[in-house]
Amino acid sequence: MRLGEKVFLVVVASTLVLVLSLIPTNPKSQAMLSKPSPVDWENVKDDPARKLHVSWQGIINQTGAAEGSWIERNLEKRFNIELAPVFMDANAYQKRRPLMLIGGDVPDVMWSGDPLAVRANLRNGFIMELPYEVILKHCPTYVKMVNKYGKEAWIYAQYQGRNYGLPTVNAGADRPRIGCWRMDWLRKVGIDKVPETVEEMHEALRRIRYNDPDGNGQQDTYGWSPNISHWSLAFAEVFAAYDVLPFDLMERDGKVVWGGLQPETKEALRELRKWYQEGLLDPDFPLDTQGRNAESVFINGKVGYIYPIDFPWYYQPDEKDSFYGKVRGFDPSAELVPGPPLRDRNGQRRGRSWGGGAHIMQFGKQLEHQPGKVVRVLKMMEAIAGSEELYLETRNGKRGVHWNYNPTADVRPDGKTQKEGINLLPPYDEKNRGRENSAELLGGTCSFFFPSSFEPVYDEKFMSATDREWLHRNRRREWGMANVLGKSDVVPSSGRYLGDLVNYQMTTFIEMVLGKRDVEEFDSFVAEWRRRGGDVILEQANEMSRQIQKIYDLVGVKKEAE
Amino acid sequence: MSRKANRPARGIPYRRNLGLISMALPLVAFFLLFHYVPMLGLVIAFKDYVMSDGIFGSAWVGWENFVRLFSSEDFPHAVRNTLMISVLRLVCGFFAPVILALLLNEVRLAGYKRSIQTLTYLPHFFSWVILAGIFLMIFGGGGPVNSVVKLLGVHPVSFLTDNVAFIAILIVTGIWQGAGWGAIIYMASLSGISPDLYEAAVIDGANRWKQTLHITLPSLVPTMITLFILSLGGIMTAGFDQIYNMYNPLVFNVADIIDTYVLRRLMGLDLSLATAAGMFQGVVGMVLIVGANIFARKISKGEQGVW
Repeated sequence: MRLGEKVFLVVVASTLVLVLSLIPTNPKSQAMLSKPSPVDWENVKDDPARKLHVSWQGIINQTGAAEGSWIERNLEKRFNIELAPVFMDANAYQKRRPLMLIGGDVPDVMWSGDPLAVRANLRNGFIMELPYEVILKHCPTYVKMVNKYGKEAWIYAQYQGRNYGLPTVNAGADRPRIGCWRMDWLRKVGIDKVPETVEEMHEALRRIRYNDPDGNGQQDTYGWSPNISHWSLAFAEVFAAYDVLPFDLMERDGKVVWGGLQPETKEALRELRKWYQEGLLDPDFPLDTQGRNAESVFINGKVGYIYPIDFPWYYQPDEKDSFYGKVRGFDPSAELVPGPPLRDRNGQRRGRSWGGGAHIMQFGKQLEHQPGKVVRVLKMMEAIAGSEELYLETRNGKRGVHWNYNPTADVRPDGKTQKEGINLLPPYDEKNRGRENSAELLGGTCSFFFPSSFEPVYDEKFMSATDREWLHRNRRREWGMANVLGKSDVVPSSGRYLGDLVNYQMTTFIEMVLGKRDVEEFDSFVAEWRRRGGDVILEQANEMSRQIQKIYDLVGVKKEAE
Repeated sequence: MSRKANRPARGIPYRRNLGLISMALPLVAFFLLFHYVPMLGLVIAFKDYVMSDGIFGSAWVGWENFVRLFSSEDFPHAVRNTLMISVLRLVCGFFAPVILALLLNEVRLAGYKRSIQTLTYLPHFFSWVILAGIFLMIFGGGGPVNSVVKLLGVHPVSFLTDNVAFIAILIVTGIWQGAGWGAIIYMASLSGISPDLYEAAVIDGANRWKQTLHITLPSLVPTMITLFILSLGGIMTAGFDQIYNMYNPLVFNVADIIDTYVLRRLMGLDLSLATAAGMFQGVVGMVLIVGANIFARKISKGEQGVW
C-alpha cells in the first residue's frame, strides 16, 4: 500500500468513526405520539352548496377501472363533490402506495385492509383522528349497520384510546368458508353423501386414495392437497371441526387466548398426522406456497377434495371459465358438490369465517384543515347506508341501464340467456366492462366508493333464489367461527411479533403433520411460541378485549345473547 | 510522431480526451444519481423514520434499530443462513466456471465448442420464477427424480422439504445456472495466453495435463483472485431470487436470508429496520472486499488484487 492510500484509508475510517459517534442517541422514540385532534368538531360547518374536491383511494382490485364512471358521477351530483379516484390492484397497493405517500401525495380518503396498515399510516403521520362521537353524529344508520354486522371493526382503527378511521363491514364474509368434493368419485368408491364429520372425511379421503376413483387401474390419486398458501386456509376446515381456529384469537372462559395453543389444536394435528401417515395427503403440499398446486391437482383429477371453493358461481358446470367448467374440461363426467362445514363433537357444523368486520377508511391528515370534507364524506356514507336505491346504484350502477333483476332465468330478445338474479345489461355485460364502471356484482367484494356490504339488508333481495338457497344450505351464518377481535393485528405489538410467530407456527404444524416433528412435542411449541413474543400479544389482546367493551358501549352495540 | 507526444503527460490531458469524457459522463451521472445519492438515505437506519416528517425531519434514535435487529429472533438467524449458503456457494461453486472453461478450452471442434458454450450459459438468462417452477416439479413427490427413486424400490424422498437436501439443491442448481456465464470471463483470459508458452512446453516434452497445470492454470490465477474478491462482496446476499421462489415453510429455518427478512420488513413499512439490515449487509460486504484485496496484495507483494 502506498502512503497516499494509507492516509486516505485513515481519513475515511476516522471520518466514519466520528460521524457514527456523533449520531445522537435518543432511544425514546417519539413518533408514535397520539396527539389529540386539533379539529374543533363541534363547530365544523359543511355547507352543502359548496363544491368540494375529494381524492379517493378506495378498495383495491379495481383493475381496469377508470375515472368518470356513472357511479362516480352519480355520487358527485348528489353530494356536490368532485371525486378524484385512485385505483389500485393488490400489487400497486403494496408497492406503489408507499411511494405515493412518501412523495406527499396523501389522498383525502384512504382505504386500508388491516389494522396494521392503519397504524403504519398513523405512525407516518398520514391520517387524522376521527373521534367516535363524530361518526355517531353524522352516521347514525351506518353505525347501526356496523354494530349489527361487524362490531369488531370498531377497534380496527383504534390506537391508544383514539380512533383513526371509519370501519367498514362485509356482511357476506361472516359465512364460513367451505370446500368442494368430487361427488362422482365419492359414488365410485361407495359413498353417496358428502362427508359431514372428521371420521367421514377421513374415510372418504382414504377410499379416494386407495380405491382408484378415476378407474385407471393405478393408485395415483390422493385424497386432498391442503392449501397452505395463507394461514387462514391451512387445514382450517379440520381444525374448525375441533372447535378451534389455530391462527386466530379466541375466547375461552372469558379470556382471550391463541387458538394454536389449545389442546384441541393438538388433537386435530394428531388426526392430520395420521392422515398423512396413511398417505392420504398430496406429499407436495408443503411446497405449494402460492396455492397453485392445490387447485391444479384438483382440476387435473389427482385429488378428490379442495378447500376453499365457496361461491355459487364456482359451481356452474356449463360455464367453461367457472371452476366446475375447468374440472369438466379434464373430465367431462366430473361432478362437483360443495362440502358444508364439518360437524364438531357436539354435532354442530363449524367453519372458519372472516367475520363481518371488514376494513378501514381513513382521512388524510391534510383534512384537519378542511374538516368539512370529512363531514361531507360521512354524510355520503350515511345516505348510502340508509337508501336501498343509492346503495345499489353505488354498487352496480343504474337499474334498467346497467343491470336488471330477473326473478327467473329466461332468454332476452337478443337471444342471450338471462340468469336468475342480477344481470348486467349490454354493453356492460362484456367482460371487464362492469369493472370499468367500478361496478361489482353482488356477493363479491365491497364496492369502490362504499366498501361495505349489507347483504341481509339489501343484497339478499336481489340475489337469485337459487343462490340464496345455496348459501343457506352450505354456508349458514350461525356455523361461522371468527377471530374474537376480528383481526389479530389489532394488538399493538403484532407488527413486531405476529408475522414471525405465524411463520413459526405454520412451519411447526406442517412438520408435525409430515412427522418431521413429533405431535407430542406440542407443549414445547407452546412454550416457544409464548417466549417469542406470544405472551406480549396475549396480554395486549386481553387488554384490547376490555377496551372493545368500552367502545361498544360508546357506539351503542347492544349486549346480545351470544 | 512528435517529441511532445512521447513525453509522459502531466495530469490528465482533458482537452484531448473530451470525446471520451463526454461519453463517460452519462454513466457517471447514472452512478451518482442511482447509487451514491440514495446512500444518503442510509441515515434512516439511525432514525425513527416517519414518512411525513421526511428523512431529515425524523427523530434520531441512535443504534436502536440495530439493537432491535440483533435482539430479534429472526435476524441473527437470517445472517447465519445467509453466511452458510454463501460460503457453500463459494466453496462448491467457485471452481465450476474454471473447470468448465478449461474443458471447453480443450475442445477443438469450433462448432461443437460454441454450441456447448451457448447451452451452458443459456440458463443465466432464465428468470428464477420459471426455473424454480421447473425444479420444484423435477424434485417434487411426483417428479422424475422421485420416479427413479421409486423404481429403485425406495420410498419417495421429499427433497425440497428436507433442510440438507434443500440447501444442496439450492447450491447445485445455482451452479448449473451460473457456471456457463461465469466461464465466459475465464474463456477470455484463456484466449489471452500466449501460444509461445505452449509451444515451448511442447518442445520441453510437456503433455496436455502438464501444460494445463503449469501454464493454463497459473495464467488464470489473477482472474480468479479478482473474481474471488468480488464474490466476497456478495457474501451477504445469498441469491434472493432463487431462494424466494424455491423455499417453503419447512425449510424456513435454513433458507430465511437477510434479503427475505428485509423484504418482510419493507412490506410492513418498517423502513428504518429494513434499512438498518440492508446497511449491515452492505458494510460487511465492503469490509470483506477491502480486506480480501489488502490480503491479496500483501501475499502477492502488490501484484494481484482488484485495485
